[in-house]
Amino acid sequence: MLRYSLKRIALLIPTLLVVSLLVFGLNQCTPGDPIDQKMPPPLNGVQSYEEYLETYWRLAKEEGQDLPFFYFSIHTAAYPDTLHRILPLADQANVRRLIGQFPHDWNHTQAYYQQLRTLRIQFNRTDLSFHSDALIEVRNQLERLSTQYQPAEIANSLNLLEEQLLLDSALFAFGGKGVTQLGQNFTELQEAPFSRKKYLPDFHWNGVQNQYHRWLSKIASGDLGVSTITSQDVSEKIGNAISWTLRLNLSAILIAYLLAIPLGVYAALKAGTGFERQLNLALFFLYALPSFWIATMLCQFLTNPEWINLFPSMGVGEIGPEASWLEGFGVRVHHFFLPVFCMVYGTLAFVTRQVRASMVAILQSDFIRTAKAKGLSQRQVLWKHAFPNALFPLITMFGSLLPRAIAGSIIIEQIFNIPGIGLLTINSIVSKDWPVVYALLLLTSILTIVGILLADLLYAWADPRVQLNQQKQGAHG
Amino acid sequence: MGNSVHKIRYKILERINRRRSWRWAKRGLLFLVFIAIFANFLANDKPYFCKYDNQWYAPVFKAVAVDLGISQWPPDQANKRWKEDKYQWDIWPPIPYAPNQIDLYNNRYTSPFSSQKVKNWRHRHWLGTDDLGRDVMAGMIWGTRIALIIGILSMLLAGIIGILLGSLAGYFGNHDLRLQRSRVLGGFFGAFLGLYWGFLVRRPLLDTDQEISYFAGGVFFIAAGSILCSWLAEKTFSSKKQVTIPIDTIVMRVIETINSIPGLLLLLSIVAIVPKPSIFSIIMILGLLGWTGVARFVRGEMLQIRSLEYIQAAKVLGVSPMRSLWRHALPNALGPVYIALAFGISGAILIEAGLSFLGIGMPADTASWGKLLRFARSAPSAWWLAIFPGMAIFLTVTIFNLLGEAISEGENG
Repeated sequence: MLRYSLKRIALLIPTLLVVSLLVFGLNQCTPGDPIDQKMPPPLNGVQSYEEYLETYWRLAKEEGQDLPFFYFSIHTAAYPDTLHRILPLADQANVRRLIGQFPHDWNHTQAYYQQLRTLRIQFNRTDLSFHSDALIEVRNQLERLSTQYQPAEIANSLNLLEEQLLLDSALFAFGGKGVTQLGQNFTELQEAPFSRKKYLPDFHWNGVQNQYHRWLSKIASGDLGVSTITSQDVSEKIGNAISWTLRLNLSAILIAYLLAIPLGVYAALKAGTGFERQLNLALFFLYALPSFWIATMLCQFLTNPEWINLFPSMGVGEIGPEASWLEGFGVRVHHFFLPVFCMVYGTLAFVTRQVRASMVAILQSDFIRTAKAKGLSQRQVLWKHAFPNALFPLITMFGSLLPRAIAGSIIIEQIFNIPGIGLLTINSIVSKDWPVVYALLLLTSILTIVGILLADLLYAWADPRVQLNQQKQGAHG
Repeated sequence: MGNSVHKIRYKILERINRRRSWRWAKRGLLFLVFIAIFANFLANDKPYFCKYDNQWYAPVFKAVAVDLGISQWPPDQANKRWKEDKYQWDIWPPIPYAPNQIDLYNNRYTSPFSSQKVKNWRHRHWLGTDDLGRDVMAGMIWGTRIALIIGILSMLLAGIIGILLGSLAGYFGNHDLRLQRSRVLGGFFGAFLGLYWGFLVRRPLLDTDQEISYFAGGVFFIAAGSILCSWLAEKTFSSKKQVTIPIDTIVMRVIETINSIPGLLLLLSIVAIVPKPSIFSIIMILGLLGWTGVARFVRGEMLQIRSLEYIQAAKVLGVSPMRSLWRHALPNALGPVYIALAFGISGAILIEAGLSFLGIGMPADTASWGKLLRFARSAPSAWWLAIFPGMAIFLTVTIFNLLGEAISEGENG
């Protein structure tokens, strides 16, 4: 058993790694700039571009945004090795597109980009006293240039920029040189000799100084990050939510099992009768009833003064500080009744069918016939001999129940406004609070993996043949 | 192969016809498919044919052609409000409303039974309207199309991946897939090059609205690269050394990994970061996540088939392993695939309904059952918005579940 467990646990490591890579990858694909979201609002409302860049750099360094993504990088040979150090991220993306457009010589691209950046700093100083319309126009034009990469667009913007400067001689004296330089840089960029670098892959080893390593070690030390919307610790947010979800789901699963086991056993006993067929049909339809539809209908018709106002529609209820235990329990039951009902019937149908199927199979086996022949009462045969053997599928189902207990009630929680994991997920996605979303995804995946592991171990413990099979397979390979 | 596939299809129809509920499921499916295909013609805000200014027009047909990209609206008809015109002669679809068409006279949740401000009974909102006055019946009809497209196409993709990987895993197991080393290495190298050129190099140059061609092109690059390079490697290197690929372990590990990620949560997080919500991305994600069930079924079936006598005989006769897999073993392993596909489609339809119910990931202008159900949440008195779309979801899911059950009972008995 110990050997089997260790082997099974060792197999988890690659799965966990893949899951962490997936979550990290999604994290990187997320639109929007995480540093920008963290930027403090500027003091007294004004901030020059230079100050913005300084703050950005400081935050980016704290967050490790200036590091490469992974232990190694593979990119086209036209990219410089330090592309990841070009920040803000919007600039980095545009430099990437520029290289895609002009892949021939990085030095020219760099010169062009740096000149543009210098000009943006120069024209965005807060102490300038030029005719404001012209200045704003120049700033806008520079802003536009920083997102452009098509040669025709850039040339057009450069022309407009020069025209604008020619209109205002003071402005021209201030920045004319720089703009001419920018135009020159762009011409050089276009005329750079052709090279095939863009099509050649380049491999670069980054070592442990990378974003993935940083992110993983942070998570391993229990730091899930900070919510970008409420600046709350993500772990705290999840901790609050998970208790509601667990209460909701565990009661639903418990009720479903308590009803399903006797029902399934009874159905197995009555196998082949009309009752069994009707029960089967009912369970079939129950299983296909979408729970969010039933929830919507119940919410509409039973919590509404216009129809029948039987239940509260929102939340989990308030319990006063001096309320007795029983009163508090009553409030919770009142609020939980509908959501739990919506979650119970599907599980009930599923589990009952499983119990029935495995009981039917067991009841036909030889040892049950022997037990009957021995003269045991039906109750003894049923609960002492048949039922323990029919439990195995229930054990495997346990593996799928733990994750469902965490993530399974997303829509139900949203409908009944229960502040659990599901509602937290939806709200975080809608408000683009990505740290919370990815922490939830990672956490539920880990719990799923643990759930499957537990089910496997339980199964192996209950049915030693599983271990034997594994060993046999091991001996084979 | 054609023969055996035909035989299985024949058997499936036979199985479905055995019980009355299954026959009804079959009819229900045909009905849904009919509605999905002809949604444009069943509910539309344009007439089939009309005559004005002494000219004949066929706007519904024209709109279909425009959608397919083979025709264009004449400038005077591009933004025409067909309903507000007077015609010399006109004939309209049974439901003269499009799902997104706003009826200003019957907005704010008009009940199906209340009096409606319509010209005549032909223009009645049979299933009521939502707050903007959009016709619920039209939404139901067009929603059928979305539900079936997402359910069937995503499971088609899942089926292809699942059959491919599941049959390789089950048929070859861990010991029988022996390949020439140079070809394997060449193939990996080529796949890497394809990944590099097809995705990395092309990425910065494409806009986000080209995602279909970007993705398809990338996959093509990978396939072409690996095939080409493995062929080249075989020609160049003289070593005929072989390696055994533990394909069964590999596939099963991948399946385990995918199953250990909570599907709905992963789907929600991916769909939320896709730059532009589209049905295509939902189909792709559902397909790429949903193949594990099919693969398991096929693998299990293949494990049994590969030890059958006729496969052994083929081996002895010198039929190549790939040929005997595709032409002899696979057609007989497809039975359980249909079961997995039927249940998979109903699952995908439920997920689509759930996504549009939450309002995450579906394009805003797409009519779908889940979206109608969402509107019911903001209007507790509008019972028709809750009952009809929910009923449609329930019946569709039941139809596919029944079909799955029909096929699986035939399989076991």
